[in-house]
Amino acid sequence: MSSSGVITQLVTDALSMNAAQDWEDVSLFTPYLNDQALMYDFADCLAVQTFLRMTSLPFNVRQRPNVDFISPDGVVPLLKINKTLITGFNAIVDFVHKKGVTLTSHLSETQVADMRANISMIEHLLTTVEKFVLWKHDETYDKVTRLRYGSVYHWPLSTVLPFLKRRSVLEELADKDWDAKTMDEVGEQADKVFRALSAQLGTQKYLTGDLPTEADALLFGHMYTLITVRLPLTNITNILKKYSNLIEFTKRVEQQYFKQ
Amino acid sequence: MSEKTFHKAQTIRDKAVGCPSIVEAVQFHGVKITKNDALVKEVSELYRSKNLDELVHNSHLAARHLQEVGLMDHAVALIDTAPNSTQGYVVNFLVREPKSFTAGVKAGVSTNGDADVSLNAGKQSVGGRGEAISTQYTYTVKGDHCFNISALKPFLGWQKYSNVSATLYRSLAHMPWNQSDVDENAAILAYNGQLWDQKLLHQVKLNAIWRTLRATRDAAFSVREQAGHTLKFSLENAVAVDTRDRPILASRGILARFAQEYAGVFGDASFVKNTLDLQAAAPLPLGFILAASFQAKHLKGLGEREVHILDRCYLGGQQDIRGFGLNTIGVKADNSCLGGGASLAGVVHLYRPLIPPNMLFAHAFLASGSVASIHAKNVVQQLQDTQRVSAGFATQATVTRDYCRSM
Repeated sequence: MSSSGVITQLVTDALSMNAAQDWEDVSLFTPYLNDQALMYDFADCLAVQTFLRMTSLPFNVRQRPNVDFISPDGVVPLLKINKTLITGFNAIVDFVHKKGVTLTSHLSETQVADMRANISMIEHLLTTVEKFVLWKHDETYDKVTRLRYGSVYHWPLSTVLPFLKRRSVLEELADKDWDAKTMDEVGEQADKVFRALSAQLGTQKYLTGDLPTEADALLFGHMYTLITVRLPLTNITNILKKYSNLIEFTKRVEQQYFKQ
Repeated sequence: MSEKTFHKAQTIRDKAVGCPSIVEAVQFHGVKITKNDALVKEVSELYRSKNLDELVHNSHLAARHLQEVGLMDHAVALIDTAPNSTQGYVVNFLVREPKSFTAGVKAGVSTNGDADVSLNAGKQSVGGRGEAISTQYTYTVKGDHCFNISALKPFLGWQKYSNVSATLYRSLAHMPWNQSDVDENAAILAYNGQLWDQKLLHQVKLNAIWRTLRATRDAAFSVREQAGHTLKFSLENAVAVDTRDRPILASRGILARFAQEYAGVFGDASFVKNTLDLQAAAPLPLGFILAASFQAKHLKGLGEREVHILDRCYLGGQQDIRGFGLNTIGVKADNSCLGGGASLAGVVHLYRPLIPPNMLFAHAFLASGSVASIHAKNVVQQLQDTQRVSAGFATQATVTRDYCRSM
């Protein structure tokens, strides 16, 4: 017993040393969070930051106007470790996991599966809701999306590029059969996500109990963004406000990881 | 006119200085679309000819100019005596106007050594005053594309060689030296003219270019960091003296060109770039040609951001330092070339035309050059310290296949 315990300890030490050794000069590249990043990108950037803070891994945030081009596949945010580039929330979580750092070691397999389902729901459904509001709703596009997306470019690109991006996002929404949806139907979808997450959270501290996981990081990213975003259209935020435990959760995570 | 016999100009060249002349009329034969005011501008100087020798000379110049500005495909001046007058002459121009529409295909080898094919179509003298419109589509075997449409308007008048032009182009190109692709959409306005009694060529260009740089998987992070959309508005001013007998593989003459590019009023780019080009060629005994060239570039960023990788100075490749890959001299990160803030290049060539004489050349060269980093504190010191040299001997062919058809 004791010998195997020693070996486990050795292996764990070796792994953590290795991870610590490789985890040097780590930068997280994000768009300009205050003026440029759109709701869903802002949420993902915040989620990755939250996740890294939960794991206590050190990193620098570097804001760049062209992160979608710096990123090899156009996905933001971008994590750079020496010459390795990892893009997007899921890939970054996986990478950190491979380095031997994980937030899910206390979970059973069922709980991990539930957590993955939550992540998937936020990523697919909630992100699509956010995209719909930003690009499909005319007033939001004119007053927010167009200006933020074009903010890093000079005229005429500040007009041309949002127009081209809008076209491609609307095609993407059409591929998911979301183009004919009304704002009420989209609100119902959002409500569905919030209801499921709120039920999962219940009165717990985090989605799976007393310890945070990556799903909490992602949830916080999106909730915080939805609560603080200023849009001409407030229906999604109003729906969210019905779920007080989600609001409380967001305040709690913010307090714990961003106000110390 | 058919019953008359005309003689070549040499017959009376330099013999008719004392023979006074009065031009009574200038007539054009074969004009359909060319506007009258354009022709008047082109030939009114003939009426000032004082003697027959001058008239012969000027008529020849006028005929050549008609072709060079694009008013005519072909023009010959015939000088006839005027009836009822001893000193009176009538100048007849036999002209052929440009075809209504031309199109062609051309295959060749670009300066980078890539095989390329281009399709072109155009129309000369669109409005009857020498205006030309042309379009071109070029693609290379490596997958680069370029589409270009341009309109040019010459200023007409006695021995005037100046024009204004507007060009729109879109190009997609791979840049192997920094492992990235660039899309360009550009609008360019240009003025070409002369200064100082037509001794100095003068060019002014206004460029507006939207560039999209996309780093490939192999690109270094310092290239990747610069990827994305940038807008460049720049003003270019160039003056040149050119006495070379031909632009490519000149056998005698010099070219001296100084160009300045300023970017900074609009757009993302803000810099001043100076380029000095000197070339000289002289024939040697036994058919050898000695040629030398020198090029210096200097770039100064004006904004807070460092000068974009697409605007920097590059060196290397067939057009300057042969023996090095295209644009590969200077600061590197991994396998990508980052360009620099200044460059110097000097090359000495020795050519010997082989058979056929204008297509095949024996060629020996000695080239040296260096690029200083964009961040260099002492540019001169760095240019001295990083000097690269290449020398070589080659048989060189200039080959292009042309297929042109007029419709």
